[in-house]
Order: sequence, then structure tokens, then C-alpha cells
Amino acid sequence: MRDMPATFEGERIGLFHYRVSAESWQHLIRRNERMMSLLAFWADEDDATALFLVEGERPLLVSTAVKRGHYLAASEYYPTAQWGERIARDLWGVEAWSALDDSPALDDGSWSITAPMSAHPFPVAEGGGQPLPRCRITPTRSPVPGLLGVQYELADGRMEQVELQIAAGHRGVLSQLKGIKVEEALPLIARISAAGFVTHPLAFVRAVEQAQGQVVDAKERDRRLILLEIERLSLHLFDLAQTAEAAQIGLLASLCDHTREAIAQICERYGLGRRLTDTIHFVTEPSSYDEAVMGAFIDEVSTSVRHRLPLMKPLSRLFENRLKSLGVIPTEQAWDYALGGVTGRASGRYLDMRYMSEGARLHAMGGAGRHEGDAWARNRQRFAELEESLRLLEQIMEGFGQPGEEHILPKTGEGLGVAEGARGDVWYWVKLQAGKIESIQMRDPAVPLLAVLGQVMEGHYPDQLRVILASLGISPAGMAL
Amino acid sequence: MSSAPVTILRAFLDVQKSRPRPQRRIRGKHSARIRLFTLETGSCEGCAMEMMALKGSAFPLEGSGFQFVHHPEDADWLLVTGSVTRSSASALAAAWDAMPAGRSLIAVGDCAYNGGRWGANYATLGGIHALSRVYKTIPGCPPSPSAILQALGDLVEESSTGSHASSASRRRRQ
Repeated sequence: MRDMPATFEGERIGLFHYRVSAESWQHLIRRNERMMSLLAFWADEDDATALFLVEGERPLLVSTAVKRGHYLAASEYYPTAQWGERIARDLWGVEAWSALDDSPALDDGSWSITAPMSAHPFPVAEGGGQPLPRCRITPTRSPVPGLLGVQYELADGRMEQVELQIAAGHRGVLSQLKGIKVEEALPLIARISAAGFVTHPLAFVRAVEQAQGQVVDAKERDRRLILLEIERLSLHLFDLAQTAEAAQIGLLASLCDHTREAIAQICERYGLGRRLTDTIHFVTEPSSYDEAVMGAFIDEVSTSVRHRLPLMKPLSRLFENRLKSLGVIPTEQAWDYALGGVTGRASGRYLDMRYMSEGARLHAMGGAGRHEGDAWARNRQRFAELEESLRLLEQIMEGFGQPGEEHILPKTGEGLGVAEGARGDVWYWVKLQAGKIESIQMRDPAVPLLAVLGQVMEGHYPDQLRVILASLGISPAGMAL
Repeated sequence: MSSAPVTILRAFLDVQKSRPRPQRRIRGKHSARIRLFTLETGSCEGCAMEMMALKGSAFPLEGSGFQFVHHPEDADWLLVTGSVTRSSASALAAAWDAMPAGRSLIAVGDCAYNGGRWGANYATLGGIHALSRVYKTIPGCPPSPSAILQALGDLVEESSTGSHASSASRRRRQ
């Protein structure tokens, strides 16, 4: 049990997965080891499961049995778990003892059944279920692209007691994935979130490949890394543009918009689709790619960004006072909640799952993250990461398809995959049975962010909401599922 | 490092150089800009993000005769994205009811029309085609901003032609 703290006993049931008794679960949760960050929490009728990251690099899954529909909450000690606990209650009807918050997260009374993922869902009575309290900003009027309700009280014109609602965006994603073949699931997962048209399916495919004991060849590995970086460029530009627009820096927004559109047109011209949709596949045969074409593609993308970076960066600096001290996430909070992506790195949690990827070009990566944790720091971090992605694309192309160390894992039927997207690390856990999905869970980087969002917005004026949300790159689709 | 005025001027010139030309001019019945209200109803947000891109300066939306408004009461056309979750259905109905006469309903993207890759289930209704008469559908998953703009322009032409035909019919009857 190399990855488990020495004082805990558990049965190893997967490569990174342990099952523990209720007592050990309680002990583990209460100790709240500093070396272990809780990335995600989920529960169904059988198990409650916590996904930890040990020492910033090794994933660890710990499960305990759900007995008579109950388990001990993790949120009392790991507040990141609260949304997972609430979601489990809504979807499976299982309750967490001593939960930090037990209000509905997804079930807002509009569904046709309750506990829809449980073995015995109940039909909802005529007239519907219990609605959630109405928000000042209703979900369809939120300033982000998706459905996010925001409720707050005002004190001296500033927001207090901020509550978020994501229920309106729930689409029943997990219910549609269960029991289908992984090949059938991939096109659905490719539309989980537009903030991860590459990232989400890549994390899923990696989980499935791990479950099946497959290793992709180096060319396909590098093709995927290229797609991930191009998606990062595009999304960073989107977030920069939205932040600039919200802060009334129209010229900067225009430069970002034009650059993002240029990338989209290049992708389309090379047959990839403007937003790289459906570019991640399962690979059954060794890949063959025209490296000259791929090199030309990357050159065009890089040129389009390099051309405008010298305009965007100084322009951004001119208006930096409009973003300073907005939406501050302190370093300690970023670590406590395992905030990833730009948001985490701008707050001093410089973790990046790309370092753990097969084929990572480590020498092209780096550049210190920031620690101020405000909208300005997130913008600065995005600019640094645009440059980093350009370096990475160049390095990947220089050594395209060069074999690295192969880590062949046994076929276990269970897999855990991760991909570092523009907005953070996306994780998929799958359990397969004869090529079909027996169980699946996912962790979008917006989930831990949701747990701190209320605190982040408190003390600000309502008209600052849009710029804060834009700078955080909030996407409810990955949370509401 | 350039001075602030030079930085702004260089950025301004670059944006001007890249500014797209309007796709077509709207004439006749629709000489005023057509006012658009967008409503997301539950999706991956891909179509909603394309709508946000369409609002940016990379596309000649206003020059082509359209403008986005913040309230359905001020809108001529309602542009819906997403597969209509049961939760958002009341917001869709409220927006539609609030619009003035002559309104049109347009499904932007596959999900808004028929749920796209996601079928109807306990939480979603699977698009608006089952709920209402959809005036126009803009297919795609997601459709590009230029495809959306093109389709909106086509719709203006179609509605202008339709109104001309109606006028012609009325004259004949008289």
C-alpha cells in the first residue's frame, strides 16, 4: 500500500484504488493529511469514493461501502467534497452524515423522477417537486455562457451570503452513459463541455485505455498533446476576451477575438473542425500522419498568436488596475480546495497534470505561476501560458512521434484518466464490463471552484460579478452534467 | 516598450485591419436592425460560446443589420441554444411570452432543435421542435458564428419574400 498513509488498512481493488472500512474511512477523512488533496468526491448506492492527489502527483482512490443509504461525509474536513455529496444525494438518494451542506444541488423539483440513478427511482407527484429558492440572477440571465444562478444579499451595496445554483443545466449525462459501449459513449463525452472539447474526451479515452491495458503509439500520443495545446490557446483567448469585454477593455477583447477566430479558421482549413470537436478517438492500429502537413498547421496557428501577442500584452498592462484585487483566491484556499488550471496557478498552487503525461516536453514548460490570486494574476497567467503552449507546440513537432518510456499497465477493467485542460485538470474514472460502462464518474475543474465561488464574490459589488466570473473561466456545463 | 498612446494606436490599427465586412445589407421591411435575444437552455455551452463570439468584433453583426438586446421585451427574434432542460423550460416560455408581436423562434444548433446527441430524459425535454413551431433552425454542433450570421441573413430574405408574397396576395384579393 505504497500510496496509503501508513496508519490505514484497506484492500487494494485497483491500480490506484483501495477499499476501506467505515472506521478507516472516518480516520482517513478526519486526519486530513496535508500531503493529500481531495480532488473529487462521488457516491452511488454501493460506495462513497474520494479521489485524492498524493504529494501533488499520485492519484489515490479510496472507497467505503454505503450502508443503508448512508456514509460519513467527507465535506466536514474536505469542503471540496460538498458538491459531490449533494449531487450523490440528488442522483442516487444516498445521504452523507455530518455533511457541510445537504441542500439539493441538481434536483430543483423539475425532474420527472427523483433519485434517477438509483435502482428504484420514484416518480414525482403531480405538480412537480420542491423548487429551489429563486435567485437574484436567474440561471438563464447569468453572465457566463451556461446556466448559473446567483443569489446574494446586499450590505452597503456589496454582495454577501452568495449562493450558487447549477441545477438548471443538469442534462442527465451520467444516466445516458451507463451501460453503453465505450465507443458509443465517446461522442457524448465529446459534448460534455465546450470548455473541453479535447480535454474531456482525452481524459475519458486515457481512462478506458488504462482499464483495457492499452498503450497508444508515440505519434498518436503527440497528436493528442498538440490538440490539447491548441484548445488551450483558443480557450485562454476566449477567457481573456470575455474578461476584457467585462472590464470594458474593448480593444483587447477584439484582439483576442480576432486571434481566436484565426485559430478556428486554420483548424477548419486543416480538416479538424473549428473547435477541435470529435478529434479524439480510440486507436486500434498504429497511427500514420503526414508530419509536413502537421508542421505547416502548427506553424500557421503559432504565427497567428505570435503576431498579436506583442500587441495584447502591453495593452493588457495599460488597464491592469481594472482587474487588480478582483475575485481574490488566497494561496491557502487554492491548496485546500485543490483548485487547478489558471485559477490555481495564479493563486500559488502551481500544479499541472501535463507534467505527469506520457511524452511531456518538460523543458518547454514552466515559468513561475503567480500568487496574487486576483483577476489580474489570472490574466497574467493566461498570457504566460499562451507563450508556454507555443513553446510546447514547437517542441512536440521537433520530436514528433519519438518513443518514450512505455508504462504498460495490466488490464483491470478499471481506469483513471486525466488531461490538463485550459481551465484545469479533468479526471475520468471508469469501470468496464465487456467493453461497456458499468460505472463512470468525472471531475471537471469547475467543481472545486464552485465550492469557493461564493466566498470569492463576497464583498464585491454586483456590477463586478461579470468580470470576476469571466476571469475565473466558469463553465457550469462540466459541473451540472 | 512603446508608450501608451502608441500601444493603443497599434492595437486599434490591427483591429481595424482585421474588421470583417458586413455580409449583406438588409433592405425594405427590415431596414431597422433586427433585435436578437439569446437564451441558453442547457447544453455543453458550445453554441452559447459561439453566440458570444458572434457578439465580438470578429463578426460584422451590427453592420449586417442585427443587434443583441438584454431583454426579451425588446427583441424581434429569440435565439435558443441548448436542449431545453425541464428546469429551463419555464424561462423559455417566459421569454417567448414577453416578446412583442411579430416574434420569431430560432433554434441555434442541433441540441436546441431536437436535443442533438442527448436525448430527452428525466431532466431534459430534448429540444424545442417537440414543444413549439420553430421558425428557423441553424444546424451544427456547434454552428460557427459565420454560419449563424449567414442563416440569420437568409431568414431576413425569406421573411421579406414571404411578406412580399402576402402583400401581393392581398392586392389580388382586393
